[in-house]
Amino acid sequence: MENKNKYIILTTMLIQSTLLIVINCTIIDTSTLEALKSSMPIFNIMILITTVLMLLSLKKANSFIKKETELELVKSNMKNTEDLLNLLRTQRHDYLSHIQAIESLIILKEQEELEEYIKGISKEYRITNEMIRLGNSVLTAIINTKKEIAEKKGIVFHVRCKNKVSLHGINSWELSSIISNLIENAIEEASSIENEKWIKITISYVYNNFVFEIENTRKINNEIGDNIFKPGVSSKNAAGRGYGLFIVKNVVEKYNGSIEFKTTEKNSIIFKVILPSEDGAYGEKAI
Amino acid sequence: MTDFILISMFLSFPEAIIMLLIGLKLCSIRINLKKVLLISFIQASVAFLIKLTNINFGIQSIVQIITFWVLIILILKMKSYKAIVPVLIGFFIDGIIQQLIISIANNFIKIDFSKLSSEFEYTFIYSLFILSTSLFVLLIIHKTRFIFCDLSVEGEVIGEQK
Repeated sequence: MENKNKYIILTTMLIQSTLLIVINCTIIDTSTLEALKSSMPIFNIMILITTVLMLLSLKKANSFIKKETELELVKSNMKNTEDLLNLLRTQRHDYLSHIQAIESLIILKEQEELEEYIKGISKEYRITNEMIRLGNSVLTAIINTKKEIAEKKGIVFHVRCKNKVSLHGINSWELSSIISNLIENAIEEASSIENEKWIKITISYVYNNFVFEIENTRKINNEIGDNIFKPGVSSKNAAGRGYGLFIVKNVVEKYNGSIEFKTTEKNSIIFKVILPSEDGAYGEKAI
Repeated sequence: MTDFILISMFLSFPEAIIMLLIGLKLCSIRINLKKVLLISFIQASVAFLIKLTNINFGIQSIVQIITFWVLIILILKMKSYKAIVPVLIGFFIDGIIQQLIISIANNFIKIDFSKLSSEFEYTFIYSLFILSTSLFVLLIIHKTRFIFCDLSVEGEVIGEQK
């Protein structure tokens, strides 16, 4: 599809400039005020056309910005899926060599070594075996990828999904943006503390709404607490930070959902996102 | 009447050629000379007819912009939203040059614009100045290969490639 937007913006700018020149020339050329007045209706029509084009340009520019944001979200979503696929591919690649090693140990009748070997690889493949399936490919990819990242950082990652997630009305990249941002924040916060590090994700379905609760250890700074959804507000004093929750809030509100957070006595913070389910199809149990 | 014909033949026609070439060059569009001459000839004829109607200068310009736009759409087979870009660029630069010449004539040589537009000798000299300045601008654009908005890279064949 051709990008007409840039031509509309360009044409608006050029019409405005040309119109100014034409009006200027007309003023110079006109000998009487009456003659000048007679041209006014035409100029007014031109100004009206330019104004309409200007408004159209603004609208197109906004839509362009929105499309760019969507593209960024899709990219981030794709990256999560790609990470998960890479993890699965890597493990699948190793299967063959492990099977060959097991076969050799059986042939050699090295029972003890075989047991050790199997114990070792079963521990290694814990992640694949414990693959959480949530009924939504995007959520499955994000949560499993983030789980692996969190566990590598020594964070205990719990997921409790009561029902399969069926959110057909929401764009996959926007759902990815919500969950990714919240989990990334949780990982960052949990990993910054010394003692107990854990993240707990609970997904439930209550009165036609999907409720996502992301809880993690670390008590948030109370001063930031009230403004946490405002752009540029972050508990980390670094430039360019504090836009994740702002984006999350915007996306959640776009789908008539809500987001809130609370701190608990056990030194943790819970972010609760409520997203309405349009079709109400949720019956199946999550795996 | 003879003055109008002379002005259209020797001034409006080359002015249209230069204006078209400036607009197309700044949009990185190359067309063959025949099409340039054809569009410019029709445009000069339209300019001549418009001058005969004795309507206001500003409205004359707007009508000329519209006819130029239609000619480019029809002859170069360009999409309407793309065709308007070289037309407006050409007219804008021509308008700037005209303003410049008028300002110089008015402030430094002390010649009133009414004289420039009504008396043939003055009109001729004034148009000659505009033509030479436009030609100079076209040469600069050609030499520097400056492109304002590249319309040739969108996968559409515009006119004939030289």
